[in-house]
Amino acid sequence: MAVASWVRFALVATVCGFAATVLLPAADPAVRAGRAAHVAPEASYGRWVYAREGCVACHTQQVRAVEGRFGMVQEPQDLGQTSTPAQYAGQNPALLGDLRLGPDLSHVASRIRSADELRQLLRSGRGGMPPHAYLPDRDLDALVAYLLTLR
Amino acid sequence: MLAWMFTDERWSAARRFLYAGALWALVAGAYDALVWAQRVWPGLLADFPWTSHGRLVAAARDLWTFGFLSSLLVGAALRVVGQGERDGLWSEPLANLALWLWTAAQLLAVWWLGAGWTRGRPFGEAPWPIDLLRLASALLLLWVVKRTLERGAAQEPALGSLLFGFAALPVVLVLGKGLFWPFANPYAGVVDALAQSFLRGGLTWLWCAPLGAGVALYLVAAVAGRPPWAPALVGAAVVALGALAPLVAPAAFVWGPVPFWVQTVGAVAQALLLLPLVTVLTGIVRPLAGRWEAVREQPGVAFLLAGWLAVATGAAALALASLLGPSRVAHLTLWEEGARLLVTGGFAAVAAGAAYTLTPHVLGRALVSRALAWRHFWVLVGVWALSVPALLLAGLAQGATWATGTVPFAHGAQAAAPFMAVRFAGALGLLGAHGLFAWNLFLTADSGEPVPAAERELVPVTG
Repeated sequence: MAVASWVRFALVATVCGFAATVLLPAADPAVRAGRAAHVAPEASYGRWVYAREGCVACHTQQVRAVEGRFGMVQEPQDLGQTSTPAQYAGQNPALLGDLRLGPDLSHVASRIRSADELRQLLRSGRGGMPPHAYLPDRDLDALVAYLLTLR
Repeated sequence: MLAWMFTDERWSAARRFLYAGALWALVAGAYDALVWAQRVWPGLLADFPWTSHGRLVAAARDLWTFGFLSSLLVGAALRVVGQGERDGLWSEPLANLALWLWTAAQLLAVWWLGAGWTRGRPFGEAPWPIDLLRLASALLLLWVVKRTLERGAAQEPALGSLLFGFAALPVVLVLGKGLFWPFANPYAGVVDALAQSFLRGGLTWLWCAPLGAGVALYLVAAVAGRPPWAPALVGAAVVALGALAPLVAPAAFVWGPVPFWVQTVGAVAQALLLLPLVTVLTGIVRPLAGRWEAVREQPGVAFLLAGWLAVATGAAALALASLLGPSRVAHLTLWEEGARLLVTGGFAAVAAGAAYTLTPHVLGRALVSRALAWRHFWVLVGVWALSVPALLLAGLAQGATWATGTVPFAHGAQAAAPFMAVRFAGALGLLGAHGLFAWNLFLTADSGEPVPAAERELVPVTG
């Protein structure tokens, strides 16, 4: 079968492309500079709740270079510093997100006045965010604990 | 029961994949409509964990890619591949086993993603048992397709493109999902983000695109009764697709937290990806030159053409959003949703077009209603015409408000709300279009006029 040879060539190209753009960046000094931060068990469970409930469908956790200067959620420049590759070290799964229907949460803890306010927001929703009243207290507390680690 | 499930009846696997695709199209359309309804009315069905927004989005993405698009494209591809020497597939029972594994994985995915069992990644989130079922099914399909093609001396780029698609899917699943260590995610940090993006791009450009290209190139040439256009060039386009598609992954992080050189590679690859896509589109259009009556007579051909045009246009919109300047206002916004609606909607049109064109060759019956098929076509075009500009404009409105640095985020979200209502109307249109498609297909299977045995064969296409 004559086509088999160029199909094989295309497959090799695919694997090489994956190595170049997914694996090779792991060796970049900017990526290697970071070390996984310690996360308390409750916050770690809250991170899992964040992933399980699909918060990443609407919220990003990446302040792009263009936004670090002038991004805004409530007050000017409150989006926080530009995200760096090292900040994500050890995060599994990475929750950068690809659509921002709700505000970026990279530094959400610095914008929140109290845990109660956050708990209330998650329970009843606000603006375009749906309520999450179905979440058990344990999950809600853990989610709040996780979000409060995002400074 | 087992004899029925693993029958060796010719084209049984292709037929069942088409039926499954038509059913999943309805489910995927319903999930999509619910997702956009919740974006307009955030409180809708929010009291139930199974219908919470985040879980619905994950399930909808899974259903569109693996349930709807994949089932239809695989069904069409198996029929085209099996054409070889008119002997059918190398093994129908094995192809049927792949069908049952694939369908079981899809049922489990809908169930588990709704129940909140997920890998937690934003795209392709299904947990590892589902991934392994899909991998097993993909390997079986690859084996059957490869052995089928080995029987003949097939050299058409269309068949090569199909073989590449079937070979690429296991690679995409193993590398993108880290299935070489399935029980836990082997990636972390930025590398995991890039692997997620590779998975998303891979399922689009290394799975749907080669299958969509192979099916469309073959069927259009068969309907027009002409040899395929520039086989060497189209073959080179498929190789270029394989080389460029994995490099596109970092384009999702322009201005983002990945090294700048990786962003550059991604943005350049996203732009270069247009070359193979336009080449395939040309390969579909050229055999029709002077035979445009085929488009009027066969709605399936119109779907194939319009579908690839949408795919190429959507890819161009994604490429634009990857450039440093435009990405400031387009990236992470609804602009990219609009572009992806064109790409996935384009592949949906290709899949539906292939199903319509293959009806006599797979079901052995003539399509019951061409009028219904044309209605399906115009509803789809209407949805694109309405929803895509709305999403692109919404994205620009979002990006522009972020860029000012003086407008609160909530105001930008409010500016996008009317456009999302338009997209919800589009989602209802899509659901209706899928209903027309499924109704027409099942009505044909039930009461379509049988076609003579000679007309059940596809016209062989030789390069």
